Amino acid sequence: MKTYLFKTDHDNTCPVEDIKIFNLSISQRENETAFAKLVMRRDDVLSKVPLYASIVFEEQNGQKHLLFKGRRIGFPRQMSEHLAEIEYTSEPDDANRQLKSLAETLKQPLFYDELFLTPGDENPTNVLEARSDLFSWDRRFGNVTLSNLFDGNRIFDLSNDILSNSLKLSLGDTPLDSVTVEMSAEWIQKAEGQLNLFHQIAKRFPKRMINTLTPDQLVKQWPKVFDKIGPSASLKQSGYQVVQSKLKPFIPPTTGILDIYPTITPPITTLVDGQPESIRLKRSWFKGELWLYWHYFQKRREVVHFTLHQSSQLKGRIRARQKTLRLQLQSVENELVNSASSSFFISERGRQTIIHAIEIAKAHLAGSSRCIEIEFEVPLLSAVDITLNDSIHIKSDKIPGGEVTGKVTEYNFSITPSGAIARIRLGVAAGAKENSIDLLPKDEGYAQEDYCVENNQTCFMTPSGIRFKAYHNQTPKEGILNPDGLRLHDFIKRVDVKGDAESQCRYLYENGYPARENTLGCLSEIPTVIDVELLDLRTKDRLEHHIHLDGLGTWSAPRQIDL
Amino acid sequence: MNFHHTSKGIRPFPIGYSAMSTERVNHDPPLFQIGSVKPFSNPIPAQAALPKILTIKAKLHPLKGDDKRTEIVMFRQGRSFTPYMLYQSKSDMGENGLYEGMQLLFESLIEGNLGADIPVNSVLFEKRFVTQGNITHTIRQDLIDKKVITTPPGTEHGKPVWGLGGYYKDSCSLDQIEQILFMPIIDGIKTEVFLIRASVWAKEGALSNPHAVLMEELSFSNLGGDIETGKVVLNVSIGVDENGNGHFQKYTSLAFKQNDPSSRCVEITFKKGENHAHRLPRA
Repeated sequence: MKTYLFKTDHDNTCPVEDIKIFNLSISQRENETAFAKLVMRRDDVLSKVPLYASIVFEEQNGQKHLLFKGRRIGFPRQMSEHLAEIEYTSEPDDANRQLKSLAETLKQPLFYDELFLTPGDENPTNVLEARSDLFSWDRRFGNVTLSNLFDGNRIFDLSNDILSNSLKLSLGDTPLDSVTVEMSAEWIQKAEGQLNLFHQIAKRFPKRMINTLTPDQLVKQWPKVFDKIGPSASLKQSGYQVVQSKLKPFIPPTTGILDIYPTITPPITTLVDGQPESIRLKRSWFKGELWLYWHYFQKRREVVHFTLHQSSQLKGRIRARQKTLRLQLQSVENELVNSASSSFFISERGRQTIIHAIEIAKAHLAGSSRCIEIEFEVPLLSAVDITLNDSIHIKSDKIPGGEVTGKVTEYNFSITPSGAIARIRLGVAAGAKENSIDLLPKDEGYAQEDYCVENNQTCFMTPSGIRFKAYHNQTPKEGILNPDGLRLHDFIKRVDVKGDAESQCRYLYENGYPARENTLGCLSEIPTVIDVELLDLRTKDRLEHHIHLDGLGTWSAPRQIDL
Repeated sequence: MNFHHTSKGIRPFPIGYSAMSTERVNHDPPLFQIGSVKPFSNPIPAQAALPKILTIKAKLHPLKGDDKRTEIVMFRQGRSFTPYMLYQSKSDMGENGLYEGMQLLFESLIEGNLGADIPVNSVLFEKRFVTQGNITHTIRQDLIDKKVITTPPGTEHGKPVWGLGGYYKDSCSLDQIEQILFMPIIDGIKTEVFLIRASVWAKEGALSNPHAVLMEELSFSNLGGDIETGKVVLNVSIGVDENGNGHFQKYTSLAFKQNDPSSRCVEITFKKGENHAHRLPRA
């Protein structure tokens, strides 16, 4: 067995002559590129090692295997009188470009949502948040692919190659029992409009028109344009403001005896110069308008709560571990059904974010689920093609259940004068089910969520097959829920009129002459007063609404080992 | 390049969007009141609210009838005299004294507030004058079959007098707008007419002719006199009572002023009179 170093230029690969590799170590762990450490003669390291190089391993029968390709990093290390160590990385020069390019293909609905990201954050790894996948760099070809946490592209059976006493099985991090998610969205519910109060006031008067014996007071106090509405002793920040106002006296139509709009009162007796005299007072009629602008700007915070559980063979055998994710969405104001919406999550767009959050929770469960670690050594020749994108199947009586299939999470190829060994570590999921519901077709995302009906209840389903019950009945309760749908009568809570012309007239008859000399002065006791109470638009610091997702299914990683 | 930050749970989630508080956006109850006790002033009785004096601007509108062919023929002792064409006279009174009437049309209110508008060009007053139709007036002083035929009948030596029309010409005074009378006379072989203003007739009689006989009932006042004697009346509505009866304030004319006679405009002053009520017609 020999190991060669090739100089790798752009299109040219040629062996580096007269160079001897004493020790070679190639290692790679998940989430990392591979590294190669070579121990060579000091002079070779200083003068012959190329910047870009390939490492080729040749069997005794002459068959060659490309073990590694990469770029030299740093300076020679561990330099002694005769030897030195140099290190190569398999990270390609265009790593960023490749990563971005791959990430773009993964920006699929429900698996990728910018509401979960800081605006402007173009980190390619964002696309992995809702996936049970990792980026995986190939040490030989320098390309990046997506690698599932549980299933490699290929499965190798190394049952017969494991070196004696090298198989070790250990418990890694405890898998999460559940992930609890609190996902919140904040926005300002905005609605505004105009309404004309005039006819609502007028119809409270006799003959459904404003009429009075004391028009001066009414005209003086009729609201003016720009007046804000509110009690006199307040700042009048009620959300209402006068935008058009008119109160104009007019002579109503003369319609004879059928519908009379008298413009003078019946004779009223009062004292004039000490003598009782019968007079008639003018009864003034008004038409006009009173347009109010209204606005309702209410901060709303909506929180969705759910807990996604994981079923595992270790459940009940180890201490349960929970995790809580607090997700605060970016501004949803442009994602609302309309700016007046009182709920975000009760909408199609909101449901998409919920599905995405469930997928994130599931990804967190998946990330913790490979709790069994298996490590072993095999002759390098048996594992020379293995990468982090592969699974390995092992049968051994040292393994609970007798066999296991695990995903390669780490490997180390060591070539020394004494031999060539591959040390491999597997991550194994101890899921409760034979097949995980997470088994999606590779490279196929769901374009949109599906739904189903269970026990006469509508359920939604995430692309990973996780179901949850419809939650649309959990509508907000506080504040104005649908301000855009408000009609005029919704705004009018109360309009009271006191002292209309007929009431004033009756009052004069009952309280004027002869009971009192100055009959007309009695009118000061019964002026025309209009009291109005409108829909309360008072806002609060914020209105918070909570939605709890029920009926969430339990997720399970694949059952890769029988414990 | 390491990718540890892709491991679930290592990388913190981004800080999301926090909307600003809306606590102070709307914070007052939406209540308001229109009208109150203060300030208060006693109402004025409806009729008392109208002014005592009104001055308006009115426009003269003369009414001229169609052209007429009116003949006047004198007969005396079996002989007829050449007919006289009444409305073809070239004299001042003959040319301008043929109007059938004169209207005063409302132009504008100059002084006083009625609280309501009077339509422009509404007729305030119309003075009618007596004119003659398309007829032939025959005036006889004959003895036929031993019977004396006279005009007017039974009046020996009677001189009949008829109305010609109203007098008006541009820039004339309102005092000149009055009835013009005519009296047929014989001038040689022709029938002629003698024209006279009604005011002169009223003042002096038929030029001291004791035989003049007025053949028609007509007015002897002029337009200016009519205004000054309160014949122009303005009824201003006070209101409608609870029974549908209209109540009106009467204004009567008191004086007039012609600032520019050539403009046909005249200012008329009215004084407040009694008020009255009557049932209004249904609209």
